[in-house]
Amino acid sequence: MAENYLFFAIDGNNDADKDAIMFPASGFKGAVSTNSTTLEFFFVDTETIAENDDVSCTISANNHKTVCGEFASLANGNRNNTNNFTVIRDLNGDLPSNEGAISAAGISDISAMTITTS
Amino acid sequence: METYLYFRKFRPASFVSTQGSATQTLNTITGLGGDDIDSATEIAGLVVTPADAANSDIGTNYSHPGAGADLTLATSAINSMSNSVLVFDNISQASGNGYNFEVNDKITITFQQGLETSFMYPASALMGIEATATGQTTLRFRSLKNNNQDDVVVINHDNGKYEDVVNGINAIIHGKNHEGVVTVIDGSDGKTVLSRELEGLGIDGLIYTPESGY
Repeated sequence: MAENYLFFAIDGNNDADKDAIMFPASGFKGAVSTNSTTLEFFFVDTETIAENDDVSCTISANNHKTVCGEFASLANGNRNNTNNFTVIRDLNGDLPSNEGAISAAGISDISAMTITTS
Repeated sequence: METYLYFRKFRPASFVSTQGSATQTLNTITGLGGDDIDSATEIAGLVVTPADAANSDIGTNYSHPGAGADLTLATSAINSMSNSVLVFDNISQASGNGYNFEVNDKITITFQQGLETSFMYPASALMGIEATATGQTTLRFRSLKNNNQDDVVVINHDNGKYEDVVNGINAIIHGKNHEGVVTVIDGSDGKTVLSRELEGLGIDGLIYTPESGY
């Protein structure tokens, strides 16, 4: 099965450091709640030199389980013969022009994100 | 297709502390499935029901509701939350939102998702499952942060059920009964929701120890 690629973008021009990032789904390490409105997703460090990278997402209060479920559905949504570019959340509201057939608008409950890379 | 394993700690919907003396330290919260509360992020709300109407040592932001009536306290005045014991600011510490508790005051705590109360791992991050004590099985995952240690999930269950727990986890990961995320254990709101493969094993505790705090 083709690899699925997961895209995150904050609200902005997506042309500066930590504006946007993409991880292979196989690099997903897990997620953890950090408070009632924050869920943090971890991925293998893109530079493979230090701690894992993470995307901290602001969500509705106590909605972690639902967001985890939506993430799992998107991350498992890869199919053969597509580009498997999957938007987890793009806060620009402007999907990439090469969006594949399986891509969606993203998880609507995510209202803000902070991308941290090592 | 990857299977994602979702866990949520055991937490009651609410807890009532009836003060045995005039102290800012509430009674130890119980019903936590073996994993203490150490973060105020888990506290959704605090309501005091005063034993009498004579208490004048309350913050300036409050109006005394009278004996037996409820008053919502500001969670910003939580002084500390450690080992499942909440300490609330007195009015010297917080003149606006502090509240000096009296004997027989009742404080009702309600809970919410907080720091490390729930977590999800891909099944491929599972490194092993071991019997670590009688009635206790430990799952080890590759750590979220990658600091060269494991993230540890301990499940408390009836004695002699280790093999059943292992079989259950294996069935969850390799079975075809689930798509995407699987709720393995969810002990929130005073209820226990288990994946069907783990039912009947007396699971009553979940202790999460990530390699480092978040």
